[in-house]
Amino acid sequence: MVTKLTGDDTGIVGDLSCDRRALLTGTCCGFLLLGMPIVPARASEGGPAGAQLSFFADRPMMDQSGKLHAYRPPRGFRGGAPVSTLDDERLRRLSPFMT
Amino acid sequence: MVGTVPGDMDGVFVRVGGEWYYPPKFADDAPLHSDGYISAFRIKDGKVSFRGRYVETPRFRANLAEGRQQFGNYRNPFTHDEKVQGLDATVANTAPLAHAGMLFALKEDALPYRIDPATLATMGPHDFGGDYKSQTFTAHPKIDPVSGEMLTFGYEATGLLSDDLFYYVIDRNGAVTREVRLKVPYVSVVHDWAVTQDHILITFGGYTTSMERLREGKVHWGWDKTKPSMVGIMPRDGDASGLRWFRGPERCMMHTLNAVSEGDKVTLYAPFYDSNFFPFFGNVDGSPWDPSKARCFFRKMTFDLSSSSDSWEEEILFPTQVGDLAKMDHRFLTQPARYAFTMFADPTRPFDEERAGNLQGRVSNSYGRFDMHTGEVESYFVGDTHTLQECSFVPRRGSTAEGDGYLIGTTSNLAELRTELVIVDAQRLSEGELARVILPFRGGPQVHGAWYDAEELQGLMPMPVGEGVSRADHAVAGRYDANLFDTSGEGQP
Repeated sequence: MVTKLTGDDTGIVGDLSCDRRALLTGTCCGFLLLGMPIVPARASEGGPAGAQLSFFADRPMMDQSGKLHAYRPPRGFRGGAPVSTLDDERLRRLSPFMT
Repeated sequence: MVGTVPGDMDGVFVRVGGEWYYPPKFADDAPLHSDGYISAFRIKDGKVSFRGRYVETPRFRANLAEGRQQFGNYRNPFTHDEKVQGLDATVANTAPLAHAGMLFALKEDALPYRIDPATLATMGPHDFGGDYKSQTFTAHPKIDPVSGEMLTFGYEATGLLSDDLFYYVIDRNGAVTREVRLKVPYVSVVHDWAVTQDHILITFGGYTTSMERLREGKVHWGWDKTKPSMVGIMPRDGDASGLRWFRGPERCMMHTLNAVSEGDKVTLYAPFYDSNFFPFFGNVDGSPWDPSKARCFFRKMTFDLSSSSDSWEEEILFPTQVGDLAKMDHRFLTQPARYAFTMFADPTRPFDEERAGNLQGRVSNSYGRFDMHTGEVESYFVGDTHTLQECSFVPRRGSTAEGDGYLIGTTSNLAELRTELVIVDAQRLSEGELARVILPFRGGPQVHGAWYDAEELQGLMPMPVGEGVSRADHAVAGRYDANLFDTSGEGQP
């Protein structure tokens, strides 16, 4: 499912045809990361820390307030692959309702 | 948000599930012992806001204070640390309940925990003004749509391993109006039950416990295939002398759908398993768990109260294997009804193994509307990297026709590890979803959820200023919010 977002004053980076996967693999949107603070000041440390790259609705978003969490790629495994090798018993021990 | 949220939806979809805050003390503990987490999607004027936080039970707070897990195996106090002996060990991780304007998080081993509908903050255990005497409260109380009363019960009502089951009627204002004290033939999981306009049905089977197994440090329940499945039927206005027990073959009776009384016949509709569904409640004879017997079907079970037989007739209504977290149009509970809704694994649908792992056939990829009049099944397919959680029924405002409304539920996107909310027209499942709300993080697991119209809760969480789902709203919901993006650990105790 891919939806196109358009730029507006919410700070969503407009009209980008890349998603999180593409962003992670660096196949597009790389320019967005250049010059962006990787670990910006947290909102709790004071006022807005300035624009930072965040993420919203599966799209990169420039958060002008600096209050949202900066986007950081999750560490470790993603997706169902780590559990797909488990047999039914071990899988249900982990997640009985497969959620 | 993709699509359009129906404009007549004004209420909240509340979910309760379990999420380990600290890892379990023992690796083979039951996942049903994980810490309760309550979350809510507030929906109004086509907009959606999400909030979630842990249920702060005494157990949760004690662990937080100590900075580690102090509670041992599932509902076994002999395995808990000495320091927390005597503390309420519930995790309140099973189901939400709205009644008399109040919101609760439920688990069957303790009293309901009252939750602030605005903030989802935990207010504490609720004993209905001291008139509710059982130590426990089921996760599946029934709201009679005719009278507005809540019928409920607690098993192991007088303490660990007790064979007491207390049945209660609580009026629409939250006052206990009736208590009946009953005994069960053997102590077992009485997870769900059923009610009709004339009777209550107490259902269980297979799971057993004993002081011996608890002293050995095992989880509370084991599966004994030699134990009969049991259904106790009692007039709603009767007492213990009117309770009649029926016995059946090996069955895992976790959840029911509906029941109806017609003359001397009582009919129970329930998605029961052939045998043990939970591998972490192992077989007491030491045999391995058998996944081929953990099959669930919609069943129709008929009891003839005019007969001296203590058995019942059973019919499998659909050949489709289903998930047992089934729902109906709750306005028709206790009355003849046509539709059942639940999730199931449709093997004819694709699964993107490259993106989401080799889980083909093992994820619930569809909702089904099971028509008990025609035998037809209409389905909604959620996508090739997704698995669905339990759906809930939302009546269309102003409509009184059975099944006229929406299905709402969350789905886990296994490729992106995030949670999405889907809303489907309950009468047009095959046409796809009306709306999908994509959370940019994982919303946490769910056991049960429920939709409540705004009028059913006092002090419901307000819609935030702004458009649609707001990350900021999630961020202020509480310091215990699950947050996929915050991998730094900062801000987490």
